[in-house]
Amino acid sequence: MLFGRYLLRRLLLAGPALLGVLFITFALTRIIPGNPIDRIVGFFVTEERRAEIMREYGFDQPYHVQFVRYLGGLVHGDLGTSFLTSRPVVADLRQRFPATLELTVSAIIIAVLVAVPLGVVSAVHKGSWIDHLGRVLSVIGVSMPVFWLGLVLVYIFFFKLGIAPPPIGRLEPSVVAPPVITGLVIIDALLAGNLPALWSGLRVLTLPALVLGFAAMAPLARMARSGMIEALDSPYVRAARAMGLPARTVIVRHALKNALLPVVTMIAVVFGYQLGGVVLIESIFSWPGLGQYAFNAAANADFPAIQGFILYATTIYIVLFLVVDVLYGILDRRVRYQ
Amino acid sequence: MAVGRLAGVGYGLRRNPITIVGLTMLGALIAVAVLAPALALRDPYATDPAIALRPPGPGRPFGTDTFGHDIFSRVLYGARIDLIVAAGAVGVALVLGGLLGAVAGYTGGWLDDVIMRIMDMLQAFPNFILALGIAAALGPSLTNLIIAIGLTNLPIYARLVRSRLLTLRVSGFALAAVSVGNPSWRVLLIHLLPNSLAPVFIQATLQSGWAILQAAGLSFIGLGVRVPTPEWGVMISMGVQQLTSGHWWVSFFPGLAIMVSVISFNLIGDGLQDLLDPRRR
Amino acid sequence: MTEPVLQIEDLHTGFDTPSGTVRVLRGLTLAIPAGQAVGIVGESGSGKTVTALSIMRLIRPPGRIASGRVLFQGRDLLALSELEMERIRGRQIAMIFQQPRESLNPVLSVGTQMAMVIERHVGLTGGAAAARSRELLRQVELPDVDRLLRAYPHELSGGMCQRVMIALCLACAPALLIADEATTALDVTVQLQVLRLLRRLQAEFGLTLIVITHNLGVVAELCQWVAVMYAGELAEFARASEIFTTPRHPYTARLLACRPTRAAVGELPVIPGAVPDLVMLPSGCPFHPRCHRAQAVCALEHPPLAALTPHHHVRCFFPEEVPA
Repeated sequence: MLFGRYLLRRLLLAGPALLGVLFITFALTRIIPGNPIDRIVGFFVTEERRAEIMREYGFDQPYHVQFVRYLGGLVHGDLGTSFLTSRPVVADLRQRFPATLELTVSAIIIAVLVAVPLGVVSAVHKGSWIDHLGRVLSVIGVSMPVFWLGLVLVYIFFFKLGIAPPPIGRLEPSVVAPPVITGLVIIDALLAGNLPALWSGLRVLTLPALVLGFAAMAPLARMARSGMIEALDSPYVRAARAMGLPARTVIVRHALKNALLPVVTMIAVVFGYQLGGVVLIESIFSWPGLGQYAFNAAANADFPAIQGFILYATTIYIVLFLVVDVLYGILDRRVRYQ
Repeated sequence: MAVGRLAGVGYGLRRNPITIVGLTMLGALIAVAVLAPALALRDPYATDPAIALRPPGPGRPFGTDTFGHDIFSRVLYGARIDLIVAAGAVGVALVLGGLLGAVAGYTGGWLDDVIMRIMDMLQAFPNFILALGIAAALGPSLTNLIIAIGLTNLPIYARLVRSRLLTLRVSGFALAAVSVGNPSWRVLLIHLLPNSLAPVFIQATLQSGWAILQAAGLSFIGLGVRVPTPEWGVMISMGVQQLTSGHWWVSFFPGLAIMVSVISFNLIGDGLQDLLDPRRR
Repeated sequence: MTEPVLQIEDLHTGFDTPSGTVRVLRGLTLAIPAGQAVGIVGESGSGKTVTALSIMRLIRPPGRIASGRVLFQGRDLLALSELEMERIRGRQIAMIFQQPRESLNPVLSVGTQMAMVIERHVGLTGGAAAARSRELLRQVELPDVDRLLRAYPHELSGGMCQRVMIALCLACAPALLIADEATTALDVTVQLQVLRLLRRLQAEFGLTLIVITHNLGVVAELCQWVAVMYAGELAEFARASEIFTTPRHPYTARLLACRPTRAAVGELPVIPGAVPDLVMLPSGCPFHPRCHRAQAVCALEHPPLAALTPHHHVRCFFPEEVPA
């Protein structure tokens, strides 16, 4: 019951934030210098046609009316029409979503699998050369522009060494695509038993996921390390050791669970970086996801698309933090009393 | 009192090698930025199609790009631009955020609530995405880039200053200052704010590195500084097409410059953090 | 005196800090007789807790045990490997700490934590381990045992947590139990209950107890012997009855005089000065700057531990006189 109340409180707190996000996103697209109409119709158009289009898009109404219309549209799932593709933004987003999902999830998985053990090992061997090396690597990792790393790796592994497949799309051109069920190439290939596609899909996914996950590794490793150090120095770990529990049991069963709690929150934060990172990485690897969509939209001042992307990304971000909060409540009982 | 703390910081800094390295790197960076005209081999905007896309070699330490620009000179001048963006963005965030946080923390009441709700809304966006949105709305230019990044990073400073002020507001010396007859704004400015500065400065150094990365990212997309300005992010984008033809140097060196700059800021910030919270060691 | 179950010899433990090595234990020598309760008293900073942690080899960097021997049943604990030490902790020497709730892992249930210890030391798992847990909890007089096993530490009171810790220590009937300020963080009434429990267990199982505390009342309630520590070394060691009636070390005498009694009227006596800085200790006897019996030699030479009687040791050149 306490948990239910905790959940409800978290949901209620998220509401106003979401509303604020909608408002700010709306405001952003309305403060554009110049008339947005010009971007839709170009310059060689009659005054009447212009007025017509303005009415159509509602640009002639006062701002608060526009905002209400905009909210109304959102409730019906209408995010406007893209200037570039001339399709509803929602349709564009929905079509490109699976590609980005596949990429970001893979990136997070890689990052967690690499970073967390590294951080834990660093903590257990605090002060040793392993620890120092880890810290050096983590500083370098956090300081690197991720899109640059992507370019460097493409050059080395594709151009020079020929190991990686060409950074175009989600499957190599020679491979037959599996029937679309989930939209996730890896899963669909598994379901269809299409092993060549599975293998190819994984190969193409590797480099972009690695690069995208790379930026996440350093903060995750740091969090794991500091969480672990704090756990290892805690009174209950000392008491556990005093009771003669062997070092491995102490680390794995006592310290680890406590150490990983802050890591869970960090995953949400890191995911936020990735939402921005996909814009850069997808364009480098020609990955047909939402990031590439946003990149094209930004480069071409396609405002409904930009707006749609911002809303999608932010909503996911807010929902993610909600999920993390809930997870915390499950893992650490103390939190429910706050 | 504040002076004594500064002296302590100086002492601690000297014993922490990480920070020294970071400071040295930053110093070198600033030197490069300032001395760019003297160190550069050619005008960063000068094109020369005859020597386009030449690899690094004598007279061209970093090679040339599609237009025949000398990349080495452009990287040097790029230090100016990126440092200005970092300083500007962090400055905007610090000053605006700090002021908002100060007002919120000191005044309390509905003003505090409103300001904090706005900060909440700003922080609900993933960081880069918000910067992207603002930059897209304002249009690509150096100033707009600074504004976009500055606004995005505001809330952290607002919260830091606010929480510091909330504690200090009821502290002994603050109450004493008020009781002697100082008007609120004087108490705020002269007594309270200087004592809130330490964590703010640490944030500022750490954020400077992040600001450079954001600026580079936004410029790479085309939302920040535009071609042919010698900004590192833009320079990377100019080299993307050349990569698969084997001309790696166009994108490589600007990215390296970014990495070196951000490392220096992060080392300084890390060192400062270690100083104030020795448990991190 | 029977064969000591624990013999500490010239133990030196310190902490490395940027400003120098803080020497917390400076040649501690102490014998713990079997089957008895020994109280270790002293002010904060005297080294009581560090002694306990040194015995258990739980000192973590930047602290380290520099030299000395700790003989337990004939073996030097400081010479053992970590693996061998793990077999001694909990099984032959057990320890309970000051903040009982902090000593339990907040994200695991009481039952899970007890099962881990029981599995480790007694080899039982699953249902058998749970049954054993219940039995142990009943031994420490805890009610509603089933609900307790499912509970989490933050749901329990301090006193209950401490009893759970004691129950865990009993899991394999250790020879020696170290209680480090075990009752300090508890309410007075709960303190008494825990002390009575410890006394009962000592009698029932023939436990040797080391009771670390700064509270002389606890010592009076529970201990047959008292060791007084000052500045990282032993100042006085004697039977509790003797210490309370005829303290010989000036520090002990002043400590006892500081206790508020019902008969006392007027200002409470204090010991002038402050506990010495462990990085820069006074020369000679560490207590001499604050000592009312100090003479010139006390600032120059370090007094050795002398046996005034076979069972009363004092480290002082000019111990208090015994009233005729």
